[in-house]
Amino acid sequence: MKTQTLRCILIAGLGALACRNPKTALPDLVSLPDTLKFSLAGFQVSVDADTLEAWVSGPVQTYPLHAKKSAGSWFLTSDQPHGVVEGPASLVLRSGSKQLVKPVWIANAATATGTSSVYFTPKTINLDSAQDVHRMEHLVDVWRNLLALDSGRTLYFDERLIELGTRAGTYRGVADRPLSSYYVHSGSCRDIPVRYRFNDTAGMAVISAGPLTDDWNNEQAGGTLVVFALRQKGKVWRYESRLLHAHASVAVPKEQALGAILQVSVHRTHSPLIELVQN
Amino acid sequence: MKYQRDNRLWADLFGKKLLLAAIALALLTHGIFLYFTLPKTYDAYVHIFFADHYKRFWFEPWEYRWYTGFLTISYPPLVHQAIALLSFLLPLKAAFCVFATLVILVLAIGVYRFTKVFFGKTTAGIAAILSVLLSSIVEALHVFGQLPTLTGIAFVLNALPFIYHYFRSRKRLYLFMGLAFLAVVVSAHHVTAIFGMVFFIAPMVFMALADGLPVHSDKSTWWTFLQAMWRQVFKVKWQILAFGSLMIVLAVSLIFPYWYWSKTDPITQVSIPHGSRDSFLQNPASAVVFFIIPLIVILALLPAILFLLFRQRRFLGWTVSFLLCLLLGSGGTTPIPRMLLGQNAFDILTFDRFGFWASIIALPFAAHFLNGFFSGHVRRVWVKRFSSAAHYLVSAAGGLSYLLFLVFVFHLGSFRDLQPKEIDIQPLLNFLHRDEHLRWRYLTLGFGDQMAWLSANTVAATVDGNYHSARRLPELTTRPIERLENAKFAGTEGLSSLRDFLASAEKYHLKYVFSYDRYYDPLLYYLGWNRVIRLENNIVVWEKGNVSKVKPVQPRELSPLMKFAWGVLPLSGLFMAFLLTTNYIRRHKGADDLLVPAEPSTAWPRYIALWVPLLPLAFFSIYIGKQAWELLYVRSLKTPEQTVNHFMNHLDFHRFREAYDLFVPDPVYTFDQYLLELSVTEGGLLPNYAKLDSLSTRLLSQRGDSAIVRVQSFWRTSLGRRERTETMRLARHGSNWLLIPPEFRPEIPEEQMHKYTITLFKRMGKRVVSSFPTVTEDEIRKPFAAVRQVNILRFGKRHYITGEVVNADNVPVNIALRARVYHSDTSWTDFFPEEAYRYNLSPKVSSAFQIEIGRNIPIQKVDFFIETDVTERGYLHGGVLDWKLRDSTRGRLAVDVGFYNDLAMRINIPGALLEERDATGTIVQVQALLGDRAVASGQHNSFTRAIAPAGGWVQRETRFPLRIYVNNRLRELQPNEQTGLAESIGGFRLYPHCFIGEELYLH
Repeated sequence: MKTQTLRCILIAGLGALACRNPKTALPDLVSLPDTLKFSLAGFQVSVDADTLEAWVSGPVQTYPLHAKKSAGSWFLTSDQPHGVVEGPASLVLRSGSKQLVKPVWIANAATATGTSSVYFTPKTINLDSAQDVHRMEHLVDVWRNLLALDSGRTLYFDERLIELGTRAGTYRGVADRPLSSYYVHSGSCRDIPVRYRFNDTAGMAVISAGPLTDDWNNEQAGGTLVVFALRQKGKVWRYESRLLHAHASVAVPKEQALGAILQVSVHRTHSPLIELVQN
Repeated sequence: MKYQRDNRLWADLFGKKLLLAAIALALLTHGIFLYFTLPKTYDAYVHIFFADHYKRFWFEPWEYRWYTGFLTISYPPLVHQAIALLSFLLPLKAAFCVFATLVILVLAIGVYRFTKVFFGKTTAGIAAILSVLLSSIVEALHVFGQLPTLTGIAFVLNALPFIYHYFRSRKRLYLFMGLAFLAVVVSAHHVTAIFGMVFFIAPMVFMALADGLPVHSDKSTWWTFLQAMWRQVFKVKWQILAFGSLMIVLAVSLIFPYWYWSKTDPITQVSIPHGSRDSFLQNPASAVVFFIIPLIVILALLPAILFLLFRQRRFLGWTVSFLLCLLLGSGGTTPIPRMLLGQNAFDILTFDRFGFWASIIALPFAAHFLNGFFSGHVRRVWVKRFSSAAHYLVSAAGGLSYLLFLVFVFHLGSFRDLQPKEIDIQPLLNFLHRDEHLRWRYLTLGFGDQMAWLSANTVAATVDGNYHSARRLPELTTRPIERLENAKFAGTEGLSSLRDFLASAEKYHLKYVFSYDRYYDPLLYYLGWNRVIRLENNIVVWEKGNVSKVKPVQPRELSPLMKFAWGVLPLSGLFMAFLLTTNYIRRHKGADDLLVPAEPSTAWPRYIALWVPLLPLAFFSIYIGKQAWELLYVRSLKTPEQTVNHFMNHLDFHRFREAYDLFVPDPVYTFDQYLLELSVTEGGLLPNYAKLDSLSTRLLSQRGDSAIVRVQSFWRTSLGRRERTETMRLARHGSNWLLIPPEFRPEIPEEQMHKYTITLFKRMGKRVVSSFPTVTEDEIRKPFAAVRQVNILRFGKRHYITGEVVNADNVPVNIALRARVYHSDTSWTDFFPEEAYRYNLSPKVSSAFQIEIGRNIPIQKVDFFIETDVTERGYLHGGVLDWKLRDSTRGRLAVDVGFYNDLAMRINIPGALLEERDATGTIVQVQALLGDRAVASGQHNSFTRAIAPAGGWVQRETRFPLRIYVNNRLRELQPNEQTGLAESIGGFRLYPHCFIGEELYLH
């Protein structure tokens, strides 16, 4: 019985605590705008209170408001001099234990000029794998608000799939914006034309490969390694040369070259086996 | 009576004058020299680094800059905090010097006060001067840079007279004064505090108790003396208890975090070899540094010191202490130190400190003898036996020889290469602070202890460190290596440890290596590092591609109270000692002198009085003479083997002029000709990137004036041990044997100017000038790489991974490989390739690789990661390669590898990467075959290596799931492709894998 009584008292106490509202609504609120614009001279609210605190909780940040009483009403101003991230917000007014929370929309008083951001994905295209580039552009002002790209204020993202040509090279995305450039690289080498000639005076055989191009007749990149392998009597010679303007060549001592089997290789492409003979 | 009092007053005054002279001498010598000897010391920079830590983060013991983070509570902080405090006014080095000079002054005063307990003030003054010039102290400061040890002993010596007086008079004032000084000792150097209780405080208490005995007990037998002492101990048991208890409370409370650290994180690392633990009979070099130099004065005066120690029973404690220190200071020469301390303590402690303490204990006795020699009984004996001129001559000669010896000790670092040359760290700091390079860890190589100085000047972190007790990375603690930075001095174990770090750089976010020693160049290159730049101070910066930035490490948490106590208590102890001393000097000084027995007038035995003054002269002269002999002596060339040994030594140290001087003089064979031939025939891994380890010579024939010697040399290189055998011809020239220049067959290229065309690449930074770091805009896209095959293979119980990757892009690419082997669902280990891989590849170039996993490693599955990054460097791998296979013994094959250097620069290490494929095209083994001699431009060179074919012995493991990620995207394997038919014989293929030392990319 004693326990039951104690339990009842405890529940009643907890209930009373739960029902207690420390902050009551702020009455007599008039002339409050639905959209608050910042950097404006301020706005007036009529509140029957001796003290007033006010702030706006924005989507990213909370902005304090200065409250000044004048002729029976309160005048609220913001000291946010530049601008805010626009969007839904809450205006909070508090006087002692009373407070009011009013949903509003905050927006900047003036529209700033935006900076265009252009993305390409990926920026480097290898013709072996893809021939198009995904381009997206949007406009952002200094306070990170998205701005419309068109006058009708309907287009915020301009997204395009750009079909690139099959011509290797460096392309400018936006003029005078090196970071927006994109690149088309040549594909794999199609085949390897090989020529050789013996220079008896110098005692050398000059072996050339080139022009090395891809399926779209783009030259293979400068610096690409070309391997000239010769085999003769169980011995292998490996000469390396790097492409310059799609051509590479090596000079081999005649005694090594004469009668040797030659194969020129670039990446996955190999020339046929060629026996070097002097005509 | 009046005469006696006047005499004593005069002696007191003279003693104080001598103390002032000692202080002035200390300022003039240590105060001036220290700033110049500091860069050559072993430990000074470590203490400066700790001081820098406290300057930056006084109340935060976590130091992230070494070893991926450690706690500074692992070393008592007083010295470091005091320097840090001074460094708010002065530069760090100057703060260190100022504090060290102050410590030397405190030490001189301490020696003076300590000696006063034994003898009179004149002797105390002489001891103070001797302490300034004592070789052990000079060495401890100017060679070892052991400031905490010196601070500890300086304050112990100042505490001892108070302890003596406390046990004589039982006044609490002395107890508190003694404890105040000991509190400083505890906070400065815990080892001095612990061993100081045994070697200094216990003998002092014993002497105080002995002095408290009735006078007649001195004439009693030993037995009755010991009985009387026992009774005396019981009389003062409460004092002993009070002193002991308070000392324990102080020791525990002042540096409690240190004890907490040593209990919760005990040192469990493999012992690091130290010269002081050597047997000095077997290793004379260690004996010189750790025993002879610090103890030479004491050894020279040993008969006199022992005579005094054994003369009075009150010195019994000091006799035991001195002899024990001397014994322990001899390190591993006898097994006794190991038996006394146990194997574990023997492996951790360094034993030079015991010799140092022995020299301090002996100081009063040595000073007493010198007092007698300058103006006492010994002088009278000499003047009577010889003349006053003879006495003067011996004094002057002994003094001069000791002065020369001291100059030698001060400049030991100049006579012997204790440290590398001083490095200007400013270019390194500029590099670290540029382009956010400090977002990665770095490693120094060949810096010596100056690595700590670099660390003290930057917030960048290194994987290495210079305080090995704090290391906790298993890769470091499981090997007997002090620092990665000087791995080459730690033999195979050291290089293995360094190799682990360099190969698995990603694991430690290690991106930059600052190399001051080209010995490591081949290892760096073959583990995938690229040279970036040679800085103005000749340091070469190496970089590893595809290493991610340092991620925050969770520090070991300590309670805020402990952090606060660590930051406040030690220095508070110092200030408290200072205040108490000031108070003591103002109010109580002078009252205690009468407690000490008056200095006895020692009548020295004739043999000591006559012979001991000659011993210092003999010792110092012999030592200086030996040094001069080593410096000036023209080495003997009396046998062919001697000449060959000298020649190889000169080559090892690149002393080409001296090496040339060992050739038979020939007007045609000039020094220029020798250098010219050397430039073509020598170079390469041996000897340019190697150190001569050992040499074996065998006289093949000697007929008349000619001889032939076979020389087998063993070299240590960063890529392992190498052996070279050659034959040298010699001729007798006068009484010496000289070398006949080897026959030189020059290979002269036909063209006058050799030309080579190459495409160089330069990465264009597109950084935007901004006050914010450009994190993303500068990053170039990940280049394309393809993986042709990855195979998990088994050879017996050993597993390894082979495969082939290709640079599919149009720019040079650095391709990083990592095999993550899962042992279970939650446990895994990362493995990285080593030499058997070409890390940087030109456009469209492929490379085979082999990654060792090891024996008996449990495997559940394997994830294989490939990361790519563009590179401007390291994609040139060599010239024209030719090769052929031939059968060798026991089923092995011999590969004859030839090189023609068609490049416009020297190939320093000719090498080839060998891959072997089985019938299905699976790569079954990859090996790096490296030659020893360089290939000059336009020249040929060849070498032969034996290989064991793996085909038929190796099994491919298909039971373990294998996933392959290229730039973190899951990729499928491409089907095996045919390689070039012409360059493959029997499944083998070789391609260049050379190290080119000349820095083409750095121009």
